Amino acid sequence: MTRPKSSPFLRRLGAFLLTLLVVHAASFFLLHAARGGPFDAERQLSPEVEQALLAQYHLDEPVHQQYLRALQDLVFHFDLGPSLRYRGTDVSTLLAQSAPVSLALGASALVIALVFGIPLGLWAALRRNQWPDRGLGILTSIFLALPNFVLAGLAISLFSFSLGLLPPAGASSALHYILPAFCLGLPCAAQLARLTRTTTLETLHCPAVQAARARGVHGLPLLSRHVLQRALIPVLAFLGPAAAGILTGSLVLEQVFALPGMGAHFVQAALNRDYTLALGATLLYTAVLGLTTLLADWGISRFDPRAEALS
Amino acid sequence: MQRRTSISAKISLATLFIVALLALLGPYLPIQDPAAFHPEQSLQAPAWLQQPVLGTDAYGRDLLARTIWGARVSLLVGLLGTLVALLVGVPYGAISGFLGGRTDRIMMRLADTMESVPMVAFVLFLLSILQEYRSEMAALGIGRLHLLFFAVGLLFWLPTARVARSEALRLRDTAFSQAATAVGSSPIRTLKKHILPHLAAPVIVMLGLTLPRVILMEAFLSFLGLGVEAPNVSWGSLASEGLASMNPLIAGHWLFLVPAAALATTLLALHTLGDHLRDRFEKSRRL
Repeated sequence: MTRPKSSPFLRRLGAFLLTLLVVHAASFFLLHAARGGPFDAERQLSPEVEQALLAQYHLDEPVHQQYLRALQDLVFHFDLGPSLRYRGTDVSTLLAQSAPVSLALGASALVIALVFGIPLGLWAALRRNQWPDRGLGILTSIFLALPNFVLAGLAISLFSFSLGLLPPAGASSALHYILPAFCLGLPCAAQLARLTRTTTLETLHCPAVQAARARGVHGLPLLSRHVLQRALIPVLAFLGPAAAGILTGSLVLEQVFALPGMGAHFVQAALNRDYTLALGATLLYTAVLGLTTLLADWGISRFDPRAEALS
Repeated sequence: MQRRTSISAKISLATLFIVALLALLGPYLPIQDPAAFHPEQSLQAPAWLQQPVLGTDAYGRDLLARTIWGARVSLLVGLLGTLVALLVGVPYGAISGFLGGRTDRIMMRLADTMESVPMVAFVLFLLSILQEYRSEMAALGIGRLHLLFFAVGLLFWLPTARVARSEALRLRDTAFSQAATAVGSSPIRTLKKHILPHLAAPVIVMLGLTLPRVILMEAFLSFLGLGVEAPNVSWGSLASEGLASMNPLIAGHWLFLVPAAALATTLLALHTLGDHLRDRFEKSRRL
């Protein structure tokens, strides 16, 4: 009798949840190893007051009890405890306020990356070694090499200060998102364009496409029916790393453009030693990245029959 | 086989040579002290052929000197960070690939898990917590700069480990390594004498690809304020200062443009060279 095989998707979901748990535990114990309580910077406190403060935040219990309490709060109430800097505000509230800003920025950057990256990569592959390919090669190298804060600085000085077209900072209207979204999305688009170019070139020489060509399929039908569905599978797999890149980039760009998103909060928390907020943000980032990877895996298993055979 | 080094690779190499030379000779060049305040000459625009060549910042510090000293930190962290990544990644990957079987599966599963964690966020978190231990670390002689090497090494060892593993996996089944095992060479000896030397070429390629990413990461961390500390400067912290002072009221655009240009040129040259190295390696492998 053979054991029923667990579905690969469920296994991945399990691994994802386990990762979240491990990240939470690791951050939690790291945080506790950090000696020097959150109230050290305050005025000298009398022992009674300090004791009361510690008791209020349950900091006087043994570490394992604190950990279990934190885990319980997180799992059942999505409660990550109070922020150590913003008194009277919960970490979950702060994250819930800032996540939409980051999500809007990240999603628009991803859309920009897809809209520019894939068609340009295709174009370069179809015009191999002609001017579109050469030009795009140079352009992608430049965008890959430029750090995004350099790109942001150049964009601000050009579009905000010299031309006065777009606002340099803030988040009060959709206009404010244009510059950061492009600064975040274009390097990713460059990566996507390179990847699409490589996979398309490979696909154009694969037997199935050559056979289709031999049957007389040309132009757009060849591209849409035979090339794209094969060439885009590695691009789909790139979605996970792309999300990671956008996430990293947003840490800097939210600072530069003064967007009140999660990245800005996270960096401020790391600088201000607001550890509970930093822990919450790290956890949320892990969740977002894990979900994107899961989504990409699901997409691959949907569109690539080979993935089924492999797993 | 005809081997041609492309013109862009040559230009990149020359650029890097100049940058490295400036960084190495920094202390001996006739430039001002990068940390000296000269309030009477604050915010002077670049004068190109006279002093100050690249202008000064709000405290009157010479930007040319600061950019050259920044190059020292950026390149040092880049090189040592890459070294850390290789020193961790290559043995990890080589052992995993060489031993194979269950060990390989467990080690690679661990690597997969680490890949699914946003390491940048985790490293930021770690760096901020380590701040609490500054005095202890200072007593041990560990400064912020040393932490940076390990932080960036931690971020970039995974791709190297994967490359080393796939090479070791391939080499394990070659005739010479099986022959070594057959005449009684212990696994450790085989790994050391027969596998590791063959990893040199792919590792050099990985070095070329990792170096620009490490330099970028250092700039990124310093830009956020979690990298080098004053009085040290790096291109990232200079660009951050420059960007902060870039507004229509001060008009100090050169404060941003100079370090940004230095960083961008170096990274572009490194990327070009890294790609060139990889293409050449792949070509020689195919033949």
